Amino acid sequence: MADYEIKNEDILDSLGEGVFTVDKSFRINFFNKAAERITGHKRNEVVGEYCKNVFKSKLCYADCPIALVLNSHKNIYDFESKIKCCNDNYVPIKLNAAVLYNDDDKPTGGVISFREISDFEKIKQDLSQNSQFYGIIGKSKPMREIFELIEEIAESDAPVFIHGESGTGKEMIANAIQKTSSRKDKVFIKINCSVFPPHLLASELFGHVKGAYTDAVKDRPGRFEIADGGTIFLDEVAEMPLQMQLQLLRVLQEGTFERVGESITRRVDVRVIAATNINIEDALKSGKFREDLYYRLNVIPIEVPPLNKRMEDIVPLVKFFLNKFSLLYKKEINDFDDEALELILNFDWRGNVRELENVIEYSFVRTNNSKIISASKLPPIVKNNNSKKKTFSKYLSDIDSFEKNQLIEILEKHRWNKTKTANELKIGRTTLWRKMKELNILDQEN
Amino acid sequence: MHEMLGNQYFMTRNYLGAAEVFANVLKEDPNNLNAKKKMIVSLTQIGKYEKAAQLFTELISDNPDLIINTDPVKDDCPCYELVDRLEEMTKLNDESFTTLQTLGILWLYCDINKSINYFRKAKGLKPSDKNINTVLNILEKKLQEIH
Repeated sequence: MADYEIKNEDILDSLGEGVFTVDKSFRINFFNKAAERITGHKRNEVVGEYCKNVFKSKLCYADCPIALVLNSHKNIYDFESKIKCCNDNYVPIKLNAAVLYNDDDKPTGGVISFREISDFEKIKQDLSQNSQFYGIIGKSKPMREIFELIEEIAESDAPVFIHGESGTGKEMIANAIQKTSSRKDKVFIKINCSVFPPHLLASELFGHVKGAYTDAVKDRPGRFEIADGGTIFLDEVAEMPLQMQLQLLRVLQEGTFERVGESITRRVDVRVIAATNINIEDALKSGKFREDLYYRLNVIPIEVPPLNKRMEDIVPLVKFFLNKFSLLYKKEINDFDDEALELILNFDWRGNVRELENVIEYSFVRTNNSKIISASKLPPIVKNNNSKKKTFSKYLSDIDSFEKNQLIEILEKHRWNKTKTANELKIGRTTLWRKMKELNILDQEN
Repeated sequence: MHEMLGNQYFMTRNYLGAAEVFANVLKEDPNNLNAKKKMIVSLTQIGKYEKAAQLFTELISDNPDLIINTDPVKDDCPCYELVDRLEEMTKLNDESFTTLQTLGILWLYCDINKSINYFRKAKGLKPSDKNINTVLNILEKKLQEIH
């Protein structure tokens, strides 16, 4: 025997979701604590009242979820609606609805559970807008700065050195640089310097002539020759042997090189974009990377922040990958539930965007017969992560402050002219005013 | 088609939907007085006055208190708003038998005295109408009981 009897009411009161039930006349006969919290209505004031008189929503007339269930004989899940609170404000919610039946299979009432989605929806909408730059997903300040920089250097042929942890999307940045440059219609060659043994890397980069070494059975141009007039992307450039670094330096300085086994000097016009995931300061100190090459490459440095330093980008990335896998697997899954999303937001993502993509694909593949991925479908490493760095609400407040700073920046750019700011944001002036009020931004216009 | 769905339609003043659902409910269970009570109001709103009068007579013959004891606010009864509209019509000289009878029906959900007044007026136009006479007999007896 249990020490005490657990009442259904206690169980329902312990839930984070609002729950209320109605009898068959649509009078409210139960209203849990979360429902009180979300709506501001007190249980003792609403029990016995018709639900339409409490929620006073047009939806009660057109789209009553319980009526929909009665008509369709199918329970409703994640139905988006609005609920009127005691302060007359409408709160967007997602709700589930079901009808309760007696032993004779006759409906005797209905139950609705709901959760507030206003902040979450706002973030998803705000962040998914304009968050793509040549296929790169990101709306965080550091990413926007990178996008701005890429646009600013579009006319330049100067070398670019991209730094960033593995999986942060350095190659995507290189792609964007190439696509915005004046060389966008020319050849674009990519090579990962870490995958070739030293003698083969030289041959790959600069080519060889027949007989230069055992397997060199014919003349072969290197990547620099092929990239002539265009762009070359040297990934993991710091893995290059020192001798080759010198050759690369010469290409950068003079645009000249020789094929392996040949003395003829060739000249090319190639724009170099390089990338590394190692701490370049350490590599310079230890002599693993040549300082002169570093300065030659590092004309335009770009630091790609790790994913855990740009939390604002996680939600748009999640949405992007869900869309991607929906198309790839021909399966319509468009969201994570709140618990799963919180776990995702709390995870460290040491493998960065690549790891996030893998986790989403893993969960996506495991989810069947649902449009929403639940926390149980996440890989154990994410699911069992108990480092609660951030609560969901902390994340939301971070987003607000991010949004506030972003808006102030644009306002300052236009000297607080609301019409110009609203035009840039493609929103109405009234919406801008409302947004400024919401974010407590004081008008600085003289 | 369940009574609960009829209740929802009735609550949201979708009288056509409510009448359809309650018709099915009453077919299965002709003694469902709550369904009948709402069906009567719904029928008056979709122009089925004769059927409304017939069901009304049946219901008050069985249990007049079910209608008389209606609390317009607590029971979310739409009758006040409905009689308002109909009474506007009578001011425009539409004092037809049907209008008076319907007002008599609807007023019983709110005020028995006013209901009886309208039924008496209707009887004045059709003194031999069986329904009206039955209804008036029941209601006048009920009024005496109340006093």
